[in-house]
Amino acid sequence: MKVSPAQQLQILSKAARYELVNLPDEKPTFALRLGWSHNYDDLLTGIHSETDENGLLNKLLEKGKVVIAGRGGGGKTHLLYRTMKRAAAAEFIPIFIDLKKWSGADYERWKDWTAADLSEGASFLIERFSIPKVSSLELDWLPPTAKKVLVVDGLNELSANVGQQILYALNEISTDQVQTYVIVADRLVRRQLPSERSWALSTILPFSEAQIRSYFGDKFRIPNDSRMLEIPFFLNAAIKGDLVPGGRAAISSSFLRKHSGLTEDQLDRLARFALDAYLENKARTFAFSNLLQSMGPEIAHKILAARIVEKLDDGLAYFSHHLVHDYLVARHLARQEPTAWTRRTLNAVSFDRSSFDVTALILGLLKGQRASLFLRTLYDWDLYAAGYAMAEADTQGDGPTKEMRALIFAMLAEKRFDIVMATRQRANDALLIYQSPDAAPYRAATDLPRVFDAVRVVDSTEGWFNEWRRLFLKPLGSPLDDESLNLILDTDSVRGWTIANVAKRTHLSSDQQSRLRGLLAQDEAVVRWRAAHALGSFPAHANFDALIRALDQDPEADVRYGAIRSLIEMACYSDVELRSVIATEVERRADRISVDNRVATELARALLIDLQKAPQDWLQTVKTISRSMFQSTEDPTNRDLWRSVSSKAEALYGHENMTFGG
Amino acid sequence: MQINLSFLGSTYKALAAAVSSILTANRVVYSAPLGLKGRARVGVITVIPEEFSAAQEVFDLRRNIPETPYFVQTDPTLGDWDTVLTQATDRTNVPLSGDIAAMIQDLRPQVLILLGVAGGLCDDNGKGRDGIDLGHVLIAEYVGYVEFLKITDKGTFHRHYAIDHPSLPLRRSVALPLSKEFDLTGALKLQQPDKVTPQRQIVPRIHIGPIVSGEKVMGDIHDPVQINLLKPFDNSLAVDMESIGIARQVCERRSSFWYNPRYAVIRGISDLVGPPENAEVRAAWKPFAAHAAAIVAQEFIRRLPRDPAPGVSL
Repeated sequence: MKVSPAQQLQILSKAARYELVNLPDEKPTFALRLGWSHNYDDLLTGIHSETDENGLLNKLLEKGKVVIAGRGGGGKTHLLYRTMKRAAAAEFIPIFIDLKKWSGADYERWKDWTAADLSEGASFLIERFSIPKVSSLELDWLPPTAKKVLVVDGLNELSANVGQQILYALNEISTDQVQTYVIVADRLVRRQLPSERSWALSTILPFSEAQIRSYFGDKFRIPNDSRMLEIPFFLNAAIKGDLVPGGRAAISSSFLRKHSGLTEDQLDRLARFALDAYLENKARTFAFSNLLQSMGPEIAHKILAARIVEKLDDGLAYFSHHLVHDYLVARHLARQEPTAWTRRTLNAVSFDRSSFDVTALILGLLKGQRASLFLRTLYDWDLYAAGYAMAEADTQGDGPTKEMRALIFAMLAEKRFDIVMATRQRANDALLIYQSPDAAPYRAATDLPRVFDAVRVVDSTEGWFNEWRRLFLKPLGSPLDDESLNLILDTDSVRGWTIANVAKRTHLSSDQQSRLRGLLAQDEAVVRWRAAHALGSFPAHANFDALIRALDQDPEADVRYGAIRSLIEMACYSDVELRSVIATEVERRADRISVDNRVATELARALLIDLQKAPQDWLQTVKTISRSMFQSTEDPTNRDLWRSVSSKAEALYGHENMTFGG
Repeated sequence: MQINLSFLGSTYKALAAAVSSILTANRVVYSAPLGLKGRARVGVITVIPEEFSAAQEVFDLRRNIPETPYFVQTDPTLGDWDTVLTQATDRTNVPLSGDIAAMIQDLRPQVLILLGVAGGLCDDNGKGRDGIDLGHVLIAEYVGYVEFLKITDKGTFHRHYAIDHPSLPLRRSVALPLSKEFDLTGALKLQQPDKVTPQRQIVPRIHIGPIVSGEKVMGDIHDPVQINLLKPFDNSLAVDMESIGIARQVCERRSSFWYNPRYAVIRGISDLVGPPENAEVRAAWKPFAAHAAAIVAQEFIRRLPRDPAPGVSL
């Protein structure tokens, strides 16, 4: 180091102060209220204690690390700006880590930096994104009495996996470096916090009507869709006269037309460009040269001048608010034929299922049957995404039909009683986030028959819905006719998956099970997946042989994923002898499973099943498999995963006395 | 480091202060770093309840720092404590590592001590290696880990990740003299259990030697895989499950210019691994072994150099 720690402190303090002065001001400045929860269950359920913004620094001092989870447009970024100013006044050195500047190439860089150890990622984040510019070594060189706070914005704008890894890396650096605190803005979704005790969890609370009035004065008449105004981005739009009926998509559209001066045709081209940017980069940033090329210099500079797009120093650019980018992408996709709603596209616009703002906006833009069709597509891609999109979409009665909504709720609610605890948790989370009253009975159901009750009371004359309802309401253990079972082949995802789920809880004859085994040789991967999914409920050697073959040989990751999950499920339902065979055969394949990331992850999840359903010797099964998986990997993170599975299993199912070293 | 001129006497206090001020002018003085909750000179980590109870009893660490899992002897709101005790949330490496990381972040202890019980390892004749026996105390010299050797059909291969071994200076300047001078038998406050199989006279002793950490995922000590894994560690005196956790954490957390923690592992022997299982013997000896280890740890801490907190005169 060329300077002393005290000099380093002076240099960095000065640079931080300079950056704080340059932070954009929000006008009007909203005073946000924060809800603090003990854990994600409470956060998603809305159980919290309330503070004003000043409470954030107190929590930070108490816990060391804070996550602010909130919806898009909730005012997280400006809250972070204001918090940095408050932190500086309280003699912290605020270092801003702006992940909104993450580019497609950064995914590769991140992979490279963290190849040996995820902790190394913190150095990458600081060196690549910190404002003011500093390295992690320079940061550590500050005197040990200096408090530093890393303020991270935009975690929700990266793929889910990398987002999770970044949380881990931030946890590490705040432990490693003396007096280093962390604030992270994230979306409202459950994360695995690396050390739950040392993180405080908060969310930005919606504005109350009194607060909304206080910004408008008495003259303002609260519109019908006032829920929108509970969110700072839209309240701000309303104050500036950009409030139009039709939800957030309409407001974004109005804002763009008014401020960009672009024609509808030009906006369409910009929307196409916005989608391409996501497809190419899976990030908010894009090369400005691409914008120039796509839109032409005149329009590109026009939207730059209107500050709809901001330019970065390294030739990259980004839309000034992610909701603007998301709206443009949604605008484009909402106007396309359903064939454009491919898995690849949905993966790209959600950053691999990390953010569902675009899908919610698309749903908000579509009406009636097209909205229902899109919801079906989402369902086929990811049931939980469908739930989140419905929760986030601004539909005022003209969105997905009540039947389609009931269907999604019912399918989610059934998973609340799944044997695998992680599946239950995901389904609960997806239902918890949905505020509308029609989700309440599904959320409140204490067992599957109560879910059936909720489905029964849906008043509908829609043929397809009543047909679906007939299938869905098949009671546990009842026989399933061949005609219904054949629907597992249906190209309609709702029918196909519904029957795959129903088959799991009904009674299938030997012939029907044999037919399912035969379907594992079908050309259609999704049919093979559904068959593998259903077979898990029927413990028999022939079914086991078929599933293990699918695990070994199926070229499609989804099918292998379904097969491993079903094998574990079958082990749970089977007798001791077959359970032991399954454990042994999975154990034998540990090396191969270990390199098949999706299958290995699902195996780790599936082993932790409901205690009430676990057979007496389940701990032994988990231990046998965990041990082989542990030995099959040399990656410390993966080893920790299997240690963790084994340890959780012992806590859940173990009654043995430890005889190891005392 | 503050310059201590107090020997000049009260008459010269003002002069001393002035001299001190001149001498330290233009020099920035830093003391041991603070964690989120304050600062501790020594952090003691236990795992099972018997270990925690023994430590709490011997050290008289009964006052909880509010909203933390830490116990201290003095005012829990002080923010600057000599010795802090905690119990790990579970007895495997993952939770233990998390607990140690949290303690480091919260209190930045200068020395960490992993305190508790372990299984003594036996030679081919079924006798404790180096004479180690029930109720004896081992201060670990270095830490082995069964998973650093990958045993396959094709041979045995080395695998490593970075770890710290127990502090060499602490071993030389604290553990070694302690093992020679300390009257462990006289210091023990618990009656030695009389359940011993085979019957023999046991005189408590302090050993300094290697310890090996097993890997709980691989099963307990009676599991053939585990037994096979322990074979290459033929000079380790005891086996536990947690030492590798502290070894890895201290290595990883010693990453700041300003923080250089060291650690020791002090284990009382609660059973001997090898002879036929005797659950009764183990149950009887566990509290005693934990107590013996706590007594040795107390003496170990007493012999550590003091690190004055600001404003505290020693």
